[in-house]
Amino acid sequence: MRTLLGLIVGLVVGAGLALAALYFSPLGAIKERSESWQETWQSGDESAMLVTHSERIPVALQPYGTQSLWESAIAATGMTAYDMASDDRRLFVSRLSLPLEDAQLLLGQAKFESVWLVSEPGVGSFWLSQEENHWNLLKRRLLPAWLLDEEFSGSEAYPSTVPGTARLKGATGSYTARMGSVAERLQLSRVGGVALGLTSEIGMSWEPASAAPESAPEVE
Amino acid sequence: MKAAIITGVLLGFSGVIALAGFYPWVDHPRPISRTEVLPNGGRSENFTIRLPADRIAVAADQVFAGPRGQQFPEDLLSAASLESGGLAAEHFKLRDGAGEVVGLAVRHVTVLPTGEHTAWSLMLPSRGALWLAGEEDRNLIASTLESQGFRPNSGAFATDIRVEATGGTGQVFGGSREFKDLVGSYEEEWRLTGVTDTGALRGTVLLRTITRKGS
Repeated sequence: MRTLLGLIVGLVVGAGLALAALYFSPLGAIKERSESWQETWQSGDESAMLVTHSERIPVALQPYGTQSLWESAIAATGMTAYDMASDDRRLFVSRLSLPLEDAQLLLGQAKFESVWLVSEPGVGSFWLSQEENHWNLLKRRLLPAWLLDEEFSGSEAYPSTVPGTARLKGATGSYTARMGSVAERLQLSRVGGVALGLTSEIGMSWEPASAAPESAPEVE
Repeated sequence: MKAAIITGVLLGFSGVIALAGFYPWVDHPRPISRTEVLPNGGRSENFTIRLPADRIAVAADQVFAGPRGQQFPEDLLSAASLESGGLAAEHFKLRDGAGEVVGLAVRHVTVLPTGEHTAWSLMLPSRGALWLAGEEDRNLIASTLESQGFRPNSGAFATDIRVEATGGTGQVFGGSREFKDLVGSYEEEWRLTGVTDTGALRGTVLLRTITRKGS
């Protein structure tokens, strides 16, 4: 009996130590790039045009009553659409995000894949693909809010792009055949209830346009 | 007693670490990939979008006339970049060739001096994203419906027509994960069976992709 009790106490202590080690691990920190970007863009404080997911997380769909992503193949995916601005230029972003299967919690990584289709009116469209690590944002603010009702209101920045994983690829118009690099930082302003105030800041740099535009080889 | 506690601590610690490191916290369902290998070594795969059921959000009234430009849902917030005109954004659920929901699809259409240009991003969570781009005629669907006798605000309308949207200009531009290095072409065909009494297009959008590994 004493042995069993000792074992149970030990299990609880050991589990607690492991959880604390995972929570306070500094391994998930992202080092932001120090060089300057050619372009910087920011989403506004206004509500996104579209927010939808499977309704497993307490974040309101936008608009209310939007079709949710309930089917099993897409139930872990989120879809958002919103404007970004840089001076007097505007981008429209349609963003698809989902957790990656190789999320490495031991290394402080809650990894997500994020694929954007971005269009600038009158100019053209391009794609953005990146891996993101949201471990710090999850453990510091989102999980405490959703599980423990710890609301937050303020301003905190969370670099999200995993270095070396982000790329831009031109699709149409002036962006055709262009390639580039990008990094994102999220700004959290509030979380509580079903409200989530999150804005995105991105820095982009495009490689010099090649002399002759590429075209995908024809497949016969 | 001391030995039991130490054993428990070690088991508890290693158990949580093992759970965090090896348990498949994320495991995307993987529907059967309905691809066909072609005689030249290429790969053919078809995707469909059922209208109006698979619409998630459509903001296209600045670009498309008629039912294709119908905003959905009605209370969709406006975005300044869309109001400026010349840009349409459509968001759908995506099905495979057998009609099973396998992902999500986003399409942007930009009106440029050279014409209307389409870019797609198809996301299949267990496989990655596939990127497509081509050209289209913004008036094609509306003019084809009118040629079949459709008139706006006239209630439900039935027809059975097929419209090829990209006119041979569709190209595959890779994407992410499984699709990252693919090149090729795609065709987009609209199989329309009519317009609902609420003014929404009814039918199927078929995306036929032919791809191979790029060099």
